[in-house]
Amino acid sequence: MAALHPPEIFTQLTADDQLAQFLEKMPLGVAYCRLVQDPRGAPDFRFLYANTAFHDQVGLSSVAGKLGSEVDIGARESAADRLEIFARVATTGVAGTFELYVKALQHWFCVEVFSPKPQHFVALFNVVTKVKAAEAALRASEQQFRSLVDGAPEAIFIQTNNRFAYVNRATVDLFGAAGPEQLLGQLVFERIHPDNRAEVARRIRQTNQGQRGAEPIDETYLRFDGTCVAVSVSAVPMRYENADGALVFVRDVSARKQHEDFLKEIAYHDPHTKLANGLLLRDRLRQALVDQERTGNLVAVCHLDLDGFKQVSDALGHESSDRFLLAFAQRLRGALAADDTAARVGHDEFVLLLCGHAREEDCLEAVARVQRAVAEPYLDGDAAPVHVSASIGITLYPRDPVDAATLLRHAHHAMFAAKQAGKNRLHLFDASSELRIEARKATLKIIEAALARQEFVLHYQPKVDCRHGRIVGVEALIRWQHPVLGLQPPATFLPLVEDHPLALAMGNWVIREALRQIAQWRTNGMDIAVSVNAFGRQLTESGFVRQLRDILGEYPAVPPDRLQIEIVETADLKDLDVVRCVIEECAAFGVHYSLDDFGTGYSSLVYLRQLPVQEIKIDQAFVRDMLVDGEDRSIVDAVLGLGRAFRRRVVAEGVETPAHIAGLLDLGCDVMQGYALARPMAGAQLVSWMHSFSPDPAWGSAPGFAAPRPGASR
Amino acid sequence: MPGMAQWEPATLGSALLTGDERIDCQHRVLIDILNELAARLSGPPDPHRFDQVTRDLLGYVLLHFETEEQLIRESGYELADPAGAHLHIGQHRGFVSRVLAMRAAAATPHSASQALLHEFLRDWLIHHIGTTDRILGRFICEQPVGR
Repeated sequence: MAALHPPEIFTQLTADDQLAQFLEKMPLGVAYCRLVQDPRGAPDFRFLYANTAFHDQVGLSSVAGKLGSEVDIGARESAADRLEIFARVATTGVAGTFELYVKALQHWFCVEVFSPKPQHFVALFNVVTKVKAAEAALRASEQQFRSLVDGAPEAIFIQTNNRFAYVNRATVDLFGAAGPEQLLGQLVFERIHPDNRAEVARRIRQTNQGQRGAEPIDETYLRFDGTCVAVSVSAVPMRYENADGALVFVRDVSARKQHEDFLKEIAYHDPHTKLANGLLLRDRLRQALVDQERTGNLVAVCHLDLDGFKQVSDALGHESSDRFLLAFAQRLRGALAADDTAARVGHDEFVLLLCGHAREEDCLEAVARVQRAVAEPYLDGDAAPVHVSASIGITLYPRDPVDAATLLRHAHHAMFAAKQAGKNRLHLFDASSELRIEARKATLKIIEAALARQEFVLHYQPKVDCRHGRIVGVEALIRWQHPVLGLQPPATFLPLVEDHPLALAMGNWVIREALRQIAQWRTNGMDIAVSVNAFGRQLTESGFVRQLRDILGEYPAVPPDRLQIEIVETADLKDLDVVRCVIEECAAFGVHYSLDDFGTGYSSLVYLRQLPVQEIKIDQAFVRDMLVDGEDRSIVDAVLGLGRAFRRRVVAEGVETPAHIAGLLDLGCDVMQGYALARPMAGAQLVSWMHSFSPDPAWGSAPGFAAPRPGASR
Repeated sequence: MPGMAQWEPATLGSALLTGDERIDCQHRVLIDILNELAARLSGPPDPHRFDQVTRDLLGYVLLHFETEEQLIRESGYELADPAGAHLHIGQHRGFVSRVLAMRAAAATPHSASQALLHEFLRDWLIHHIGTTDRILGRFICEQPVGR
C-alpha cells in the first residue's frame, strides 16, 4: 500500500526494546492512530501501532497500517460515533472516554482516549465486563423493585420537602388523580383533611427528629373529586434524590372505619331514639368541662323527666308509645344547638348539655325553649294528639364547681325539686345552699368524732343557798376541749346539734359523765347533787325514761335523787303532755326536774302549771339588770312569788356582784348561782373549792340567816 | 331598714383569695352565709331565721377556724412567725366571742342589734380574709411541696 507512511513512533518503538516490551506486556489494549482520509476522501484514522493486548481483546492480528474503517472489532455501538470522539480528541487535545460492547466477545470496554500530538490519538481499552454486569444486575433489581412498588396494591409514596416526590399507581388511584404528574411536586398537606393537619405536622417533626418509623395513625385524605377517604398511614424516614424525606405507606381503611362507626353508634347511642346514651353523655360532659376553661361559657347540665309518662304510655299502647318517644327525641334534638347534647338516660329521662351560653339568663331561656318545644301536641296519624310536659332540673358549671358525676346528680336533684313544685317546671340547682348543707354535715361529723374521742368535759358551777350559807348542788355545764381551737363554750356547738339526732347521744353522754363524777366524789366522801341540761328533743324521744334508768343502773352507788335534769321552755306546746309524763315517771324513782331560763318564753305560766318540776331558775338577764331596771326587778319578784305559790324552789342565775346577792336576799330569794359565788370549774377543782368555801358574813345581815355549815352539800 | 337596702352581695374576689384552695373554698361558704344573713336582715326582723343563720355561721367558723389553725401549725407558720400566728388565732377567738355576745343580745331581736351584727361580720370577714388569711396563704404557698 503506497499510502503507508513509515510511522515515526514505529522507529522509536523498535529502537527501544524496553519500551516496546513494556507496551507489549501491558494488560491494557493500546492503539496509536492518526486521523486520515480514506481513499474516497471521507474522514478516517489509521492504526500506527496496536499492542498484543489490543489484538487479543478484539480477536484480530496486525492492525497496524490499516484504516479504522477496515478493522471491524464487532462493536455494538456505531463506528461513526467512535470516529467522532477520536477526531475530537485528536484535534482538540482534550481527553475523552466512552464505553464499548463487543458482541462476539461479550466484553465491555471502557475506552480512554488522549492525544499525544495533533491529529494523533491513543486509545486505551480496559475490559470492564464484570463491573458492567454488576451495574446491570443492580439496574435490573432496581427496576424490579420499582415495578413491585409501582404495582403494589397499597398506596406508597415518597415525600421530600413536604411534596410528593414519588407516587405509585395505587397512590394515584387512591387520590383519584389522572396520573402521577397530578401529584408529583404538589404539597402533601393539601391532600390531607384540615382536621388532621396539625397531628400530621407533629408526626413529621417526630419522624424527622427521632429518625424512626412512626406507628400507623388514622387520617383522612382528600381525593381530587372532593370526597374523603379514611386511611391508616405509617411512614419511615428516607433519603431520596439527595433530599431528606419519608417513605409513606397508606392503607385505605374506609371499610374498617364504617364498621367502627357502626360499632360506635351502637356503643354510644340509644338504639331506639338514636340520641346519645349515658356513656357518650359522660364523655361529652367531661369534654365540655375541659373546654369551658377556654370558652368561659357556662355548661348547663339539665335532667329532663316527662311528667306522668306512664299514663300516656299506657294509654297509647306499646307501638304508639315507641313512635311518640321517637318524635319526642326529634323535637328535643331540633330544639338544641348543633354543639349541644341530648342523651337518653332512662325510659322517659333525658339529660341535655348546653355549652353555648355565657349568661345564666341565656342558659335558662334556651332550656325554657326546649321545654316549650317538647310540650307542643304530638300528632300521629288519625289518633288524638298527645300532650306531655317535662320537668327539668338544671345546674350550671362552674357556678356549681363540682365534678361531672356530681353535676349529673345535682341536675337530678333539681329535677325532683321541679317535679315537687308542679309539672312543666324548671328548677335551677342552688349550688351555694348545697355547699352549706355539705358544710353543716362536715361540722356535725367533727362533733360526732369529738364525742367519740371524749373531747367533751363537764364543768360544775355551785348553787349556793346564801341565806343558810350552804351549797345545795352544782350545775354541770358542757365544754369542748377542742384539740386545735382550745376550750369552747357550749354556745359555739350546742346550737348546731340541738335539732340533730346527735343531741341524744350528747345528752346521754352528759348524764353518764355526771353520774360518773358523782360516784367519784362519793368515794372521796363528798355527796354533791348535780343538775344536767337536757335537750328539748331528748325528753320527747321515746324510750328516754328507760334509757335514763339504764344509765342510772350503771352507777348503783349513786342515789337517783342526786341527779336533777334542767329543761327549757320549748315553743312546741303539743309536747307538753309528753314532757309532763316523763317528769312524773322520773319522779317515781327520784330524779327531779328544774325549769331553766324561766321568764324568757311566752307561756311560762302554762309550763309552770303543767309541769311538776321541783325547781325554777330565773333567767340571768332579769337578775343581772334587776339592780338598775325596775321592770326586771319586778319580774324577779313575781317569779319568787310564783315559786312560793306553786311550792317550787327558786334559783337565781347570773349573780355577778355582792349587791345582787344582797338584793336577792332582800326579795326573799335564797338559792343563787353566778360569778359572784363561783365560776364553773373542773370536777377536781370543785372539791378544793368546797373545802375552802365559807359564807360571806355580809349575807348574815339578811333576815333568817342561819349558821353556816361549811362543806355540807344539801 | 334603709341602710341595708344598698347591700351588695360580697364576692370572693381576687383581693380575698389566699392561694390555698382549702381555705378559699371555705371562705366561699362563709361569704355565702354572710350574704344570706344580709338578705335576712334587710327584711323585717325574724328571730328564728336570724338564729338559724348565725348558728350556721358559728358552726361553719368552728370547722373553718380548725382548718386554718391546723394549717398555721402544720405549715410551720407558727414557728416562722409566732407573733403573726398569735394575732391570727386571737382574731379567731375574738370573732367567736363577739358573735356569741351579739347572738345573746339579739335573742330578742330588734333591727339595731341585727344591723350591728351584720356590719361587724362583714368588716371582720373582709378584713380578716383580706389581710391575716392572705399572709397565711402566702406563707403556705411558699412552702416546698410535700410539707
